[in-house]
Order: sequence, then C-alpha cells, then structure tokens
Amino acid sequence: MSQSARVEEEAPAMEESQKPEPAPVPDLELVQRAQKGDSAAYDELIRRYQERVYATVYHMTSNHEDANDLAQETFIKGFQALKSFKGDSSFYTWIYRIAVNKTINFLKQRKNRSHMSLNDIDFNAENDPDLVALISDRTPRRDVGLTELQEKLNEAMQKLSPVHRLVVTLHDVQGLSHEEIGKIIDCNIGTVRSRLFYARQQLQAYLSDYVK
Amino acid sequence: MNPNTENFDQLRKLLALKRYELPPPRYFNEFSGRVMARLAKPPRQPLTWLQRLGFDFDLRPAAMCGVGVVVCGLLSAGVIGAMQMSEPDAGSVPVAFVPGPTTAPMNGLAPVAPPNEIASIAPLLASQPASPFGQFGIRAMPASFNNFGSAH
Repeated sequence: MSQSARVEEEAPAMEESQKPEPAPVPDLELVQRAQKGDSAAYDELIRRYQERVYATVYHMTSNHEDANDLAQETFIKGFQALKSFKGDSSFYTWIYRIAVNKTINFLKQRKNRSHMSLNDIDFNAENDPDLVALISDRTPRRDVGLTELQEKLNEAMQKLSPVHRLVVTLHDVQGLSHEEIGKIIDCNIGTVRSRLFYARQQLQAYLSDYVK
Repeated sequence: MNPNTENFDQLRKLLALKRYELPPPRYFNEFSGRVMARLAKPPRQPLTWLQRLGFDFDLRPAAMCGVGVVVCGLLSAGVIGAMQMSEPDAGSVPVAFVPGPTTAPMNGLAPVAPPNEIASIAPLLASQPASPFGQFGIRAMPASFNNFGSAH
C-alpha cells in the first residue's frame, strides 16, 4: 500500500477522533425509552447514577456488601416502578429517594447489628492537604493515620440516627444542596438545616480527639 | 445558638475523607450488567403449600432423611412397647395373690394350704427371681395334701 493511500485511509479516522462528543441524551428521554421497554436506555441511566447511589448507601451503612445489595435493589425497584414515573421531579431525585427509603428501612431492620466492611481509601487521599494537616500532628505515618481516621469517622457516623446520618452524607460527603436534600427526603429546608446542625454537633463530640 | 456561627470547618475536612473510600477497582464496570442480569431473570415462582410448610423434598434431602429416621424410630418404639405391655410381669405379682394351680382341683376340693405352711415357704417365693420366660406361667406354688387322703 502506497503512503498516499495510507494517508487517505487515516484521514477519516482522525476526523472522527477530533469530532466533539455528541451531547448526552437527557435523562427524561432515556426514561421514556426505558418505559417503552428499551433496556439499553435503562442501562445508560444506571451507569449515570450508579456511583452516587452506591456512595450514598455505602456511607449510610459503612458496609460494602450491604451497599452493593441495596444499590442493585434500588435500580431494580426503579425499573419496576418506572411506569409510575411522571417526570414531576428529575430521575436523579426520584432514584435517590428510592435508595434512601430502602436504606433507612434496611437500617431499621438491622438496628444495632451493624458490622462495618469498609472500602479501601484511594491513594489520592494522601495528597489531600486538608487531610494531611489533620493527621500530621497525630502520627508520622500517614497511611496508618488515614486508616485509623477512617475507622473512627465511620464509627462516629454509625452512632448517628439514620436521618441525621443521611443529611450529613448527602450534604457534607456528597455535596448536595439543602434544596436537593429537601426534595429527596421530602421535607423543608429548615428541617434539613436543623438536622445537619445537630448531626454535626454530635459528630464533633464523638470525634473530639481528631477535631479541635 | 446560631448554626451559621458554629465552626465545623475541621469536621467538614475530616468528612471529606469519606469521598476517598472507593469500592474495588472495576466494580462499577460490572455493576449495571449485574442489575440488568437480575432484571432479565424470570420472576420467582410463588411457593407451593408444601414448600411453605417446609416440606421441600428437592432442596432438603438431608432433613427428610432425618424425619424418616425419627418416624421409623418412633414406630419401632411403639411396636416394642406394645409387645412388652402384652406380656405378664412375673416379678411384680405379690406372694399373697399368686393364683392357684392351673390343674383342676381333685374331687371339687380346693387345695388350699393352711396359713402356717404359706408362711413357711414365703421366703422362698419372695426370693424367686423374675423369670425371663414369664409367658409360660412357671411358678413355685405352695402345695397342700390335707384333703388328699379323705378321698379314700
């Protein structure tokens, strides 16, 4: 094959790679397609929200296996209830609500039989200046410090009631706004703020050795 | 206390650590596939009434074997118990109530021993062990010959 022919073949490939990615399909369109039985559309919705749903459940339970089960059941329940989704709220809020309700029901049944099964900390945490500052005066070994801190933090979280744990998880860990949290747990912003304040006070007391 | 004035900065920095807690690598690559596989499964069949009662023969062969052994044991115990109840217990019959000879009395006279003779053999009868062959009715009996000669 001559060099000119090869260049001609490679040219379209380069053009394709330089093309801007198509705009993502809106959630509502995917929901409508999934309601008509398009499983690929629902698969795409799962991929969009799996990490956030899993993280919410995981931070509530401090247990990877429970979070895995509950996150899967959330999306299964979502698919089964998809016909009832009218689009009054975003799919994101709707699926979050299912996850939260499932998790709170699970925690009520589990009561005090909590068993932590924590995920490993990502190595990037060692480069987080805020975290480094928190542990540097406690121990010279950063990895040990982070693991210890992770356990203490999760233990303190598990001492909170599920509703207080939920607002801390959604706001301080996942970064949702008060308004979004209010929509998910179906209460007003004032309630969210007061729960958040109380939960933080409790956590501060439990973690007084680590937080000045 | 005003919530806005409360300083939770350090706590919030500490809570940021939770964002670094991540599931195993490639966990999310397979997550949606697992959910879709569960959705593709046919719905679970409702339990039959036998299964509701726990008689799930296919799934619990060991339990059913155990039940069979217990039932056989109870049946055997019942049969053995019934056989033992039908046998007379030789050892439990008191001397004073030992029945008379099985042979017919001669000349219509009952061979009754006088009380002093019964008392003389009572220790012997009392020490008689329970016979393993109780069903044959072998007994040591007091004998009387008081009226034997009067027939002549």
